[in-house]
Amino acid sequence: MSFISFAFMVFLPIAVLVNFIVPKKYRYIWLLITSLAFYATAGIGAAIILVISMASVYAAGLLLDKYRDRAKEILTAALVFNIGILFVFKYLNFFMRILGLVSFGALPDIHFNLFLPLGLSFYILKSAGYLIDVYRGDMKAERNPAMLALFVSFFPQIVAGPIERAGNMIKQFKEPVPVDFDRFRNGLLQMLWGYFLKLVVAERLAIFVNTVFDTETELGINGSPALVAILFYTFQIYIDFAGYSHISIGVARILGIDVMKNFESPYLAMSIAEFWRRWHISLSSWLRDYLYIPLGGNRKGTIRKYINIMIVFAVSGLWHGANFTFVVWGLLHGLYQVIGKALTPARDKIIELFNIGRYSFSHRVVKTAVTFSLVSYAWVFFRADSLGDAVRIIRSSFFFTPWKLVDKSLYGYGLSRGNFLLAVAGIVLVVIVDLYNYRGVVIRENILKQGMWLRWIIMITGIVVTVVLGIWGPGYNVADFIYKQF
Amino acid sequence: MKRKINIALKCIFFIITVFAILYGATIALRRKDSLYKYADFFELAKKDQIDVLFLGSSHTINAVNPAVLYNNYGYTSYNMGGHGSLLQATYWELMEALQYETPEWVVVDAYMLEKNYRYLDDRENNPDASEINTSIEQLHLNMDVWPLNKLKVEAMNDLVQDKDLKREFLFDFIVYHNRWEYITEDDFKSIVGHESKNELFGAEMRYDVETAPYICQRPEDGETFADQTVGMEYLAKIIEECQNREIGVLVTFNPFNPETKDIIAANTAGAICDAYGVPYLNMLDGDVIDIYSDLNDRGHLNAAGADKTTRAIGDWLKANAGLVDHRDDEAYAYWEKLSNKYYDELREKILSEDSLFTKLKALSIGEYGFVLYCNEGSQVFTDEVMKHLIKEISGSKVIYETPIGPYIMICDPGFNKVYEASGDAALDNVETAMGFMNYQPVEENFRLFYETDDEDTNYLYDEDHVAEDVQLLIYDKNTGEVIDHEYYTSKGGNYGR
Repeated sequence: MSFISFAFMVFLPIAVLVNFIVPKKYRYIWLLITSLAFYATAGIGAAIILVISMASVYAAGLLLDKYRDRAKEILTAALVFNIGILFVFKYLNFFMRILGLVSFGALPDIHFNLFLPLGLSFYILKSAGYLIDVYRGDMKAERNPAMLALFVSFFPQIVAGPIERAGNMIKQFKEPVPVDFDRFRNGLLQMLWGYFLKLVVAERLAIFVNTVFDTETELGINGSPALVAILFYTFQIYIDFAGYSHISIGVARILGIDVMKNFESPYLAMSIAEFWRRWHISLSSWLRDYLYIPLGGNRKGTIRKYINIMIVFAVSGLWHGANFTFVVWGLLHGLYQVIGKALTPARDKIIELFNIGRYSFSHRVVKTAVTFSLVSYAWVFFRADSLGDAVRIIRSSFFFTPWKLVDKSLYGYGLSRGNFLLAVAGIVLVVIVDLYNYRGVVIRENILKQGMWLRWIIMITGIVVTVVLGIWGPGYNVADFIYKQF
Repeated sequence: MKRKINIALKCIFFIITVFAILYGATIALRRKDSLYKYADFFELAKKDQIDVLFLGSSHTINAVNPAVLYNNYGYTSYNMGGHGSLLQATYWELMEALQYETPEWVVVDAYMLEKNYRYLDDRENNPDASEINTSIEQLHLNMDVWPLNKLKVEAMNDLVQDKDLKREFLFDFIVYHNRWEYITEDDFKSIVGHESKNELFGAEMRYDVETAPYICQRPEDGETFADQTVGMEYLAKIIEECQNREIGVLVTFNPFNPETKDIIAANTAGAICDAYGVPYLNMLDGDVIDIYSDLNDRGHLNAAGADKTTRAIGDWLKANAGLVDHRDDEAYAYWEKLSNKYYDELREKILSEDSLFTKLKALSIGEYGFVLYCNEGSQVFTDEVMKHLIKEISGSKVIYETPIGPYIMICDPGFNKVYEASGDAALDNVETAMGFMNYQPVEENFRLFYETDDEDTNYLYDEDHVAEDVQLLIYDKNTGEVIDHEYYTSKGGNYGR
């Protein structure tokens, strides 16, 4: 069941209403029932794998608590088992492909007909995080199997995160806060913003992006169309995932659960390192806490730090998808950071030499623009079907055809003039909201402070705009959230 | 407790407000084609003023003009034809319409009787994807206007097999919400029920003239389809439904340029009618229309063809249906008004039309008197298509009697007369709305055409237009006042003004 399906529009009110009625003490049972029901719609096979994974994590947690002296072996076994599930369903075919490539065809390229269970990459990371926390003694193993099952399968998060920590979630399941009207309104408004982002902006951008990326000849997309497609995709992936995250966080809030933020105005970052502190925060913090730091982080010298960064970003790339394009995307981000750090002394010298104010507006704008450009071009590898396609799109973007920006040719890539302008307006709106957010202003909370009539006008306008201008229904091949596939 | 009630009330009011606004958006964004076509049907059905329902496809839409039927016979009718409607769609159209009005007679056109697939989106039995898409697209014209109820669900279950497609018909906002880019003033007017509507009682008139019909191989006399088709099944259902409700039913095969299969279909429809004992009017046979000038395209009639077809049906109804002539009934003033409006528009169309073919064809309906004059040596006399059109209008072969002209035709609907002269022949003192007129050819570029009481006014000579070899003088059929005088050049057969 997708957040953008009619089934979910029926499912959610029932889940919320019953959750409101059920006594606090038993609320987690209802949430588990709804979560399992939600997940069951992904297919019986996926549900069985989820249950097996949850059972193994529950058992491993208890064993970790009980046998502290053999904790390392237990943790290793549990991680191997769960990451093994992930490997089989997500990476086995990619692995066989690599074997075929490195053996120069000596080993046949066997393809297994496997399905990727919904949210597998996300709940495996959550489970792994929980096991490591128990192993480290940061938290006690959860003894109530239903509680742990709910943490792993909590339906607002299972599709594509945020990848929450057990310490934050289980505590809330045990002691849920009352769902009052303010919380309800807050969650609803956040969901509405998420739906607007997804249906009105991201899906609209996707039409242009898909048309350009799927055009096989360079001739038609050379120059401005390719450049605009790269720019649009940069916003599409952000708005799509941020939209999902807002819906997810909003739904959880309505159910009485607070979930961590996933984004903090990432495209306003002034360096790649800062970008990763603002982008997909739940994943980047997970990688920091459970991979980068255990690898030694920056404690073991400069070269080792660089190697650790490259490992973390290669893993991040691979986590996103079993394809070389994702690996290259991850490595690019690693490389950006390594080069950035290596060049820091030289950059400092230039700043000193030209007497550039580090905190001047112009310097910050330049840094933001450079970071944005680097991120944008890296996204091409993330979006393209193959490395060759990515190179083709990037090469196309360097052709000089600025007239195409004004001669209406851009309306020939799936978006009519009205839709194109609406997409651009959507991007502008997102940038404005992010600028406020960057300064610590949460527009949603400001709206909720307004009088009823203004609040209502904003909310009703939001609903009508999303329903009317949203890209859904026949005539459009509405994609699910991009991050759902990971 | 008071706070909780307050919150609950606010929530309810909020939800009601959202739904009310979304409902308004649904109306504004809905494609208006269907509402445009049927808006008057609902109004007139409320007054129980519809004697006859015409059912069928676009062949019916273009072939039957209720304004003509009312003007000439005083019978009230609504053209329910749907573009691309197969007989199963026509059946459900009838079922929907019968919820609002029980007419005296149903006239159903049997075109596409040979179609043998049940669901309009049946891609297995109908591999023509574009035909399927067109059928589905056009089904919206027939179905969108009917409210969502049990009957509509039944209809969609019967017509469409794909679940998503069905949903599009039952909740059309799914399809139309993306019309935001195209909404006009009319879309907003529809929220308060002031949208524009078809003012021809569901019919649509076309005005082009198809001059090169396809002549098919005729099947054996009386040949019918060997096997039962879905089309036949639904024609039978329409007949049965009408008979069960004691509604008179007339099956027609409206005229057009048929293929062999259409002639067999027409024969088959006749056989079905015989089996059910219902009357059948096969207008493919016989001389209801002129196939060389009454078609807009090979499948559809132009306004002149529609005029003839409507009169043919009107004659049948007059002889057999026992309908009441409502023309003097004050309660039917709206019919009078719209019927007159059609003729007003027809007259405007005639005057603004640039194509001589189209203009002459429209003039043949008889809303204006006119004089057609072709100079000696005009290419008209070597243009078989134009000569055929002139023959068709005049009803005689005088145009063929001269190899090089000149030729004159005075078509006077006021006196219901057509006068012609060709070569050296003259016309003396012929009675028209313009007065008693005389015509005398003098030399190649000079001729006389004047009223007996006013010999000084020569209508057909103007020094400024010596080069043009075709003249068309249009006059009011009642007063004889000259309304327009047009000159054409026949060079290249284009008849440029």
